[in-house]
Amino acid sequence: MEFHAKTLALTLFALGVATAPAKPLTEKQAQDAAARIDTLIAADLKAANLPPNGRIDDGTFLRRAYLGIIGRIPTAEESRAFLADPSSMKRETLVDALVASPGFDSHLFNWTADLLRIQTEQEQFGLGWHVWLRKSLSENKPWDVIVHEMLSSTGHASKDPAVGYYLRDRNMQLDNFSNTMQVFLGRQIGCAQCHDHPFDDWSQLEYYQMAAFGGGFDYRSTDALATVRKAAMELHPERGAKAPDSSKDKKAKQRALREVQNKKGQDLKKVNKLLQPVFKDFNKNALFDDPGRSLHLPEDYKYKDAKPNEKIAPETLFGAQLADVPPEQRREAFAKWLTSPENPYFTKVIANRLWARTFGHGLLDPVDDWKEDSQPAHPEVLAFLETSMKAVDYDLRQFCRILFRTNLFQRECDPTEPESGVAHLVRGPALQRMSAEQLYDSMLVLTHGEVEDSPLAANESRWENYTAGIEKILNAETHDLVLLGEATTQAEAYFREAKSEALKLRGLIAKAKPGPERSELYRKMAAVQEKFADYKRQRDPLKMTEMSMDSEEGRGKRKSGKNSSARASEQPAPFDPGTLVREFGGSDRTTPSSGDTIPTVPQALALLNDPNTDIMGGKRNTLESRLSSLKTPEERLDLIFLLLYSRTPSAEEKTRYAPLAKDDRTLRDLTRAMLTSNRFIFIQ
Amino acid sequence: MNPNSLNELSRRDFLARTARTCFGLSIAGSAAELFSPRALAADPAIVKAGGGKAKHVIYLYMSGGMTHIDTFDPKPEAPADYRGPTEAIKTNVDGIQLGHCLPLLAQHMDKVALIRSLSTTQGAHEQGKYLMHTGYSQRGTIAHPSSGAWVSRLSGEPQGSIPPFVLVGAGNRHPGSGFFEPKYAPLPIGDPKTGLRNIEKRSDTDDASFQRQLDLRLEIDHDFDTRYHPGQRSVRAYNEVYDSAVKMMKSEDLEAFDLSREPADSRAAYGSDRFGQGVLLARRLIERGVRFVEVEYGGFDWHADNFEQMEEKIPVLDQALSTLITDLESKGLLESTLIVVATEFGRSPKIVEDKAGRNHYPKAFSCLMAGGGIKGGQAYGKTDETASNVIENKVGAADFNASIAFALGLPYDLILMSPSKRPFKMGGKEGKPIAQLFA
Repeated sequence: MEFHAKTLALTLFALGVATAPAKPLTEKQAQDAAARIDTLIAADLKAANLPPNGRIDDGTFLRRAYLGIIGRIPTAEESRAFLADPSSMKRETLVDALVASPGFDSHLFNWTADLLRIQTEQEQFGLGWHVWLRKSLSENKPWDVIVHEMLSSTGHASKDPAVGYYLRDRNMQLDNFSNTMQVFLGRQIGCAQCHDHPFDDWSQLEYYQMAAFGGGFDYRSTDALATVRKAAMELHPERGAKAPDSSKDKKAKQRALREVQNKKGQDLKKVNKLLQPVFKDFNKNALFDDPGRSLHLPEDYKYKDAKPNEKIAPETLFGAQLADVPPEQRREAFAKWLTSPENPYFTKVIANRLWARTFGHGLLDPVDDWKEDSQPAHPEVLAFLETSMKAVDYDLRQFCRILFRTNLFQRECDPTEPESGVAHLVRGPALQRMSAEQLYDSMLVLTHGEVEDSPLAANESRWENYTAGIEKILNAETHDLVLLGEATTQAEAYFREAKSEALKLRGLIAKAKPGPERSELYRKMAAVQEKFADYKRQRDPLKMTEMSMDSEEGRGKRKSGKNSSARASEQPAPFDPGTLVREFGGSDRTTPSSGDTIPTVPQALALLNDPNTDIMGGKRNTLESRLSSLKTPEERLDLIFLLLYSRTPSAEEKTRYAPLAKDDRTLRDLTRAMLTSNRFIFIQ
Repeated sequence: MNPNSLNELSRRDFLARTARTCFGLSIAGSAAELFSPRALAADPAIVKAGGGKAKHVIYLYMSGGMTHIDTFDPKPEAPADYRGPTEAIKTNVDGIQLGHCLPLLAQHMDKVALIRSLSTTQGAHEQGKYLMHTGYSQRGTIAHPSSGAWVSRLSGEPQGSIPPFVLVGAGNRHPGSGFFEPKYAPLPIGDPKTGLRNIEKRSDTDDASFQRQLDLRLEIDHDFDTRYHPGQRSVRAYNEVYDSAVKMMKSEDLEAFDLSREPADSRAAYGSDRFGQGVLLARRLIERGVRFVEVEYGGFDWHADNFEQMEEKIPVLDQALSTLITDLESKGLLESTLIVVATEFGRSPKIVEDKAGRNHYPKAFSCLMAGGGIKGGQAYGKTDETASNVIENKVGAADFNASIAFALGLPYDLILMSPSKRPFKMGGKEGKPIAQLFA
């Protein structure tokens, strides 16, 4: 415990407070911590004889703060309010307000969900995981708790939605483990899955020892099994009876016992088959940690330190030693070890990741490849970040608040991009292109004039409906379950029938001549399609239970799930290929943090020509009418500059562009040109 | 500053400066000089050695790690817990068999060279994909270019209105142009069915308005670009992609992206799914001179239910690939088009019992090449009786990429320097083309 006490003392010293910091930090605590970072950086720059970059003006700061903290450009009104504010502390005030606002959660969610590869529509658990993470971040659930909850999760997603973390990689436990090490601890040990690591000192055996904490994974629902068992008991009560022991004949007794067991097995099979359509999705949405199972080495294991197929006991290989953990406690122990403040990587990895998110480049780059001898830039800053993360008790909002309050966040960007994989002294933030989600959310500001930053209730209610349905099935009377099983089986058969009928009709339509013959076929087709949709709903047991227990209101709520004015964080991810978000590098959610900002030709075409990016046309757009309500060209020019660049035009720009704002056509061309400009898409 | 300073003259001056920055300072300027006069002409030494017949590459990437023992390297004699329900079928070449999900390809075996002896040490998807695409192991300190970018780069200044490297249906994290200048980056097409979108000006925009937009864009970025253009690749790249976008809007070749112009029979022959249509798009693009088209087909990571998944996915590849071969042959393009099927690793030959799945297996796996001067009807390299170990002619990712270069007559061993002044080659550190593949 000595280490911990020392850490705490250091923390308090660093934050300049005599008592443990309040949650959230007081303004003074936040400011002192930010100042400490600036002091440490200044000292390093001075020692290297490098001047820091200059301070940015209010307009640049405003735009950087909105995009960096809440993930979208400010509205014209928000810009006006800030620019007109005479207070000398208005930047700090803005940072605090933005960090505390719901927009912060939306923006941080996109980043975190990309890191964790959440796919909203993956089976049913995807939505639950999405909603759970979104909510956890809004509620300031500390990072170590979030990670701990995911790593120790178990059971059905309807009860423990954090289990999505494992179900995401169903049947790929080792891949999931490699990702865990890379995402949370910055250690790349995936190579050791197949062979001894060539550069690091990881052996394949060690890899398996670590992975063995998840050695009991079985992807099935024990709740479903229990319900089926219960149903089997009720439907075949003789199952419970013991083998008759009246016979003295040992063989006859055994035979009788076998018969009973056979019958039991057959009965269970029958009931299983009957109820299969009801429970078919349960196993895809549940994890069972079987204490009787263990991880084994591969069959072709070739090193001398162990035998092929050998059973492996879990063991940690750095940080606190953890061995002889009973199977029931394996994952809890691992989760605790990984998220402990004493884990040598956990804290600094998340601190450095957030630093890179804020300033465009990690103190250690790449952020997910730590080695024991890694040399980050500004080591004292990194140490202080680690201390601060512990001091704010892993509250990401408070930690980010410290970073956004630094002078560094108010410095000009470097004219030159940082070289990847190289530690360099930080004179200012790196120039960043908007992420796809920042662009998407900023387009909402441009087209709608204002944006709802709060979470969409529809996602949550969709998930609540689902969990209620699961609950209902698990608690249903056996009689009802059987009816449900029969109904869904029947619906499935009808569904297939309708499907093949539709296929046949399609063939006939293709051959039919235009005219009454074809019209008749089209009518038939429409009827089949209607049936098709009905059966599709009815073959889903959850939809059936919903229909019986839900009112129209419930269904109405689900429909509102698609909302064109909702932010990217409220949409199912990943976005489809070809959508604006994907064209601009939005994550495909297959590898951790796979969103990118690589320039492509389709991006240019999208901003030049896509009707959906046309901020000067279209029915939903408010900008054109707002502009036409303004009387002078100067006012119009002010509005488009405020909207697109979060500033009013300079005197020169006024002279040059106000004449263009006189005429609707040239004003339109100018506004569209601004949307395609580098000044818009990059964050200075 | 004079309020009218952002006039034509200064803008032109700026553009000229921009051009100098883009082209003058680009790395390994000498290579461009080397190749531009005889762009697309194969190296005579390679031609003499049997390569250099291909002018185009259609590179089909099976993402997730395609099972080798069930497809290109079946082992009918292996124990049941290796073989599973997969059967080996005859092909039109004596002594070469394929997995039973590839009956159509089996009829084209005489045009195909299987490579059954790939072997790497990268058992994770991302690292494996990176290695196969670039010929180098992934490092934090350098972004290596992918084979498509190498082909564009080594072929000299990009010609024509469509970029020389088109990437269809790929996920994020493709290595793309790596450290090469942005003009060698692939043109990504997310969904082949919708093709290249937004190529028409907006209905309310005439030529004058459109041009004004483009001019204003540069003008309004003047100060920004002056500050960031020299030091930020990404800023340079945005100015380049706008130029390319405008060039493409005027292109005569855009109909290549419009699959609805293809006869219905021919569309159907490739398969109606995204991958099949992507392969068709690839054919339409190389017909219009595109050098390298990569089409990704995802979802091969079968840790469970290998044999069910196989029945669904492999026939899609079988149909698209066989149709492509037939189609190119009938159009007289097979000889000048190299077809490649690649993946990041194979699958563990021993079946994971309780899941009927196969895990990652980089130690031995298979890829394929056809057309473009490849000598068909052969299986290069060999694995042992359970497809677990390479026992003959081991091939690495660098050799594989060197062979692609060789087929095109490009110098696989030409050193180009990265901006950080380190030497790289299309054939990786020590890659050598596989001579036996070529007729």
